[in-house]
Amino acid sequence: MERIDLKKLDPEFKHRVAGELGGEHIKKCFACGICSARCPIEKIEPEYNPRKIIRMILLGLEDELLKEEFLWHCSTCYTCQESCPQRVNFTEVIFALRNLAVRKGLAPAGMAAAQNLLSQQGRMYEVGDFENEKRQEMGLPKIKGNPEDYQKLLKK
Amino acid sequence: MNYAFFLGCTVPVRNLNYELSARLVAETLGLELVDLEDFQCCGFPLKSVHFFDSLVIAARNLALAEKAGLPVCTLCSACGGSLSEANHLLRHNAELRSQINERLKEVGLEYTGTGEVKHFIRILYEDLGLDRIKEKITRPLSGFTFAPHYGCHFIKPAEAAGGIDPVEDPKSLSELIEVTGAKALKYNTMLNCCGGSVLGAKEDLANTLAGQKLGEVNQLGANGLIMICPFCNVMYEGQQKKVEKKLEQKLKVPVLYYPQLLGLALGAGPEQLGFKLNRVKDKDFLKQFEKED
Amino acid sequence: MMTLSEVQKIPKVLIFGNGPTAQETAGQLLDLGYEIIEINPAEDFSQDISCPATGSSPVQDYMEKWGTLANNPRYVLFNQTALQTIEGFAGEFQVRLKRDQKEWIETVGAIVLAPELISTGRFEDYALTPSNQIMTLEELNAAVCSSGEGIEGKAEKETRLKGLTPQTYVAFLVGLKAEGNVLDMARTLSLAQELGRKYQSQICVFCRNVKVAEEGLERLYQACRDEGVLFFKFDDEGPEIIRSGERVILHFTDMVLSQPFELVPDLLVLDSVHSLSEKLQGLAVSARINTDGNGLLQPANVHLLPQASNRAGIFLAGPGKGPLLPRTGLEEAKAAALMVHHFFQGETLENQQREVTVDKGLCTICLTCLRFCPHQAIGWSHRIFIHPLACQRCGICASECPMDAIQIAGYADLEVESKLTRFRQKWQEVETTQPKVVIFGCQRSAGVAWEEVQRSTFNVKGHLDFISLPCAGKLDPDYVLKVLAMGADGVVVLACPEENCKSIYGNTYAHGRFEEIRDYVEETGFDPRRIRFEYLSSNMVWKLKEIMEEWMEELGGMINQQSAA
Repeated sequence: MERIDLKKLDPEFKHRVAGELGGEHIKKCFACGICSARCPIEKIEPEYNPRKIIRMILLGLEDELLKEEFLWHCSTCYTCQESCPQRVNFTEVIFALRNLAVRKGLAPAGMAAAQNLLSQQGRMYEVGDFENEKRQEMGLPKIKGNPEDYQKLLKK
Repeated sequence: MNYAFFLGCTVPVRNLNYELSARLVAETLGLELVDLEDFQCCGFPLKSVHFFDSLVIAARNLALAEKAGLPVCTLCSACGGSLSEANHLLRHNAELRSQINERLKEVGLEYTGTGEVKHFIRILYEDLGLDRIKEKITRPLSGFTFAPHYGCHFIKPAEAAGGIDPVEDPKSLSELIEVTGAKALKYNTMLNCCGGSVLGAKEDLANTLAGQKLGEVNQLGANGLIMICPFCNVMYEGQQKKVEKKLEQKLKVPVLYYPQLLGLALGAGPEQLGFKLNRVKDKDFLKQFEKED
Repeated sequence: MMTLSEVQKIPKVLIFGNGPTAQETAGQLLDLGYEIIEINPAEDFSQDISCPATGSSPVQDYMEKWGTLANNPRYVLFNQTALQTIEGFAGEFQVRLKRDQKEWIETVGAIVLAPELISTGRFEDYALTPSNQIMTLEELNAAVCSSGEGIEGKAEKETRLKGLTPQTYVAFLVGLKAEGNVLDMARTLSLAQELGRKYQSQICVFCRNVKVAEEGLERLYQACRDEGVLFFKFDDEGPEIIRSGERVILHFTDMVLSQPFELVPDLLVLDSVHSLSEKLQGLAVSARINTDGNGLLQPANVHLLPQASNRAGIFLAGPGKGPLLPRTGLEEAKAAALMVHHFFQGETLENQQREVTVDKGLCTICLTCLRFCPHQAIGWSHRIFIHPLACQRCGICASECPMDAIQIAGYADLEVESKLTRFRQKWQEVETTQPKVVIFGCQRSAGVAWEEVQRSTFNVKGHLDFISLPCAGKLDPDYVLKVLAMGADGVVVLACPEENCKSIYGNTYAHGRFEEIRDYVEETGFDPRRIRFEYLSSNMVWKLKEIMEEWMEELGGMINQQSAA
């Protein structure tokens, strides 16, 4: 591995993450490693390592981290969050990092689709006449589908 | 016992069997599930993209329920998690709450934090109780064994979920299975994550996760794997064939929703419980419950 | 020889020290009614100038009280005075003092050593020399803390910090070259926090363990992390330090990421070496007061309470044992005063009722006993004298004495011998296919384990007898040989685990002697496997059972083979 000049990294990055919704407790970590020890993803894909991700945030490896594909491999099982003795709330840190990556245009292609769908139709799956017919056949009530509120609330 | 019935996005379109069986069970047991037609997406898919906005739309749903004066009942664990986490967060963070309410003003709503969110399973276990359910069992499922799949967002994070079940050693779903007369399996991978959240980003990784549980349950030969969330269902039922290929072993793990199981014990027939829509099922098992008429 | 009740205890206490601990000990003992002679090697008492986070304010509260000590008629203070030697024993020490050219002796009943440590920057260990880029923790402390007004050179030290900006990096090296301590860590944490707040520089702390075992330090550590201080922890000596002209460059690998980094700190802060004054180190040697591996007072032995030394009547308080936070020194002062008080009130060890005798007919005044005594309880004039209050009845002197002139009541050679004779009689009456074994064990460890075993079920494969010793150090090589000569098949010697001997090195001596015995045994034709030495603590009942059941069975096999051959 190439030697990195610590001064070239951004010491403000950790404070920025701490200012994000979900990242508030990032600096409480003292690298005990229980998150990585219990993470089910780490067992299958060792590159995804919560303790290392936190360390990268604290040391300021912003660009290296936000472009990583593995940020999107967390299964949000919350095991790390439940185990952490410092209540770093790492699952929510992942959400914060993902938010930052999206803002920088570094998210995988499909992720932004959710935003579009919701702001247009308020639902992930459209409920049209076809869907309501099927429901009626099974004796289930119709779904109205009210996108207006979402169009207002989620305008970009 | 009245609840605002929160269907979410997936269940009412892709898992009608879950919705059908839940409604039937609720009616039989005296729970009233009220449809609020303005309910929309809970916000879960938006968390990774824009956390704040996901809280806005979660709060909108909560505000609607508050207005109706009803606690929320969710079928999907992701919805349950998203709404209860939002509820917990906004109750304790006044500044965030006022920021959210600023946005909700645009649609004429206000979130006050006076509402409750409970997963359907939790309502059965806590609000109704095992005794009340037992009274209504007409056809005990003795001799059968089912493997409970708790999933992750039903009991975690414990704070937001109201500490319903100890995270390391939950019992609620297992006891609900046993009240039907069947045995609930306790197995090594019982608390494993289904991998549903990763399916979009890396299918192979998700399938590996799902395979861990399917492999064990298949080996132990349970009569079925019990679901309480449509995401988990996608992984265990929908992806079972792909997982089979990946593990290079034949898998025969019937997958069904808990209300479908309970419904059978309450005397309903497979048709009424939407079993037609189950993709991996044990036809022989279901034959015993078919109604003549 | 003097008996315990005849020991005189002069109600005068000599307190040696140059800081808050000594002052507080004096104050506490005055309140308890004793006469105090306070000896300060320095010109004046050192004032604590730590940052508030490390608790200097408690010290400031006490200073008013200490100002009034001089008014007390039972108190006398000698400044710029050196403690040359300590003669005598508990209850009556003769302490030789020196001031300017004058020397004189004070006679006191007890002594409290409460020195402050001398702290110097750890330049040598890091192979660095002082420069503008480098400061010691002490210098930085003086520069930053507002309570350091009037500190010599504060202004000059402060100017060195003027170069710090939000773009600069400060690196602390602490607890890397030697095991860290709370004082350096407390100073590092509060200074890291101060510098971060004042100059918004990025602070990096390089350490092995973050020592937070003191009130408030865990919270301070958390606060530092919250405010952006970075901690780099290592399980080796830490960053490689490279000199490039005037610059110091740090090369290190982050243990979490396994990633190599480089840092050229704008300010480098070194931790300190803490030591006793040379004079005091010399006194410890001449007065046989045990020190630890770092030359500080009190070895790391669990049997020594924090304020106790290996010598009765001599007590320790404060950082002389190891760097402490100032407020801990004050707590120790109170504890020391209480211990001194109990000493004067007649508190003794339980076995000090046993009589110790020296047969002057056998004694040749070779002084072996005096040299071996771990408690410096033996003196001599025209004959050997064992002080009944200083002596802790370990028996090392008795076993080392080449003439067997020293006896301790209850463990005398004749008493042991008569026990062995009784065993021999017993053995002659029983059948001999099963082995006959005698265990010599220290009463504190093996003795306790033995009682525990008696209460449980066990299946000993032979005849087993236990002889209790006050300390394994009492084991005379003769005993083992006598036992074998009496017809025993095996002998086991059990001593307390290493660094766990109440008599400091009784167990070590026992082991050493045992190895010699093994050679004799072989020479005399016995199978050396028939004797065994083990370190055993009082809760290792499992091991004692293993010896009793498994080893004795093996032994049985051994002797039956030999008799068959």
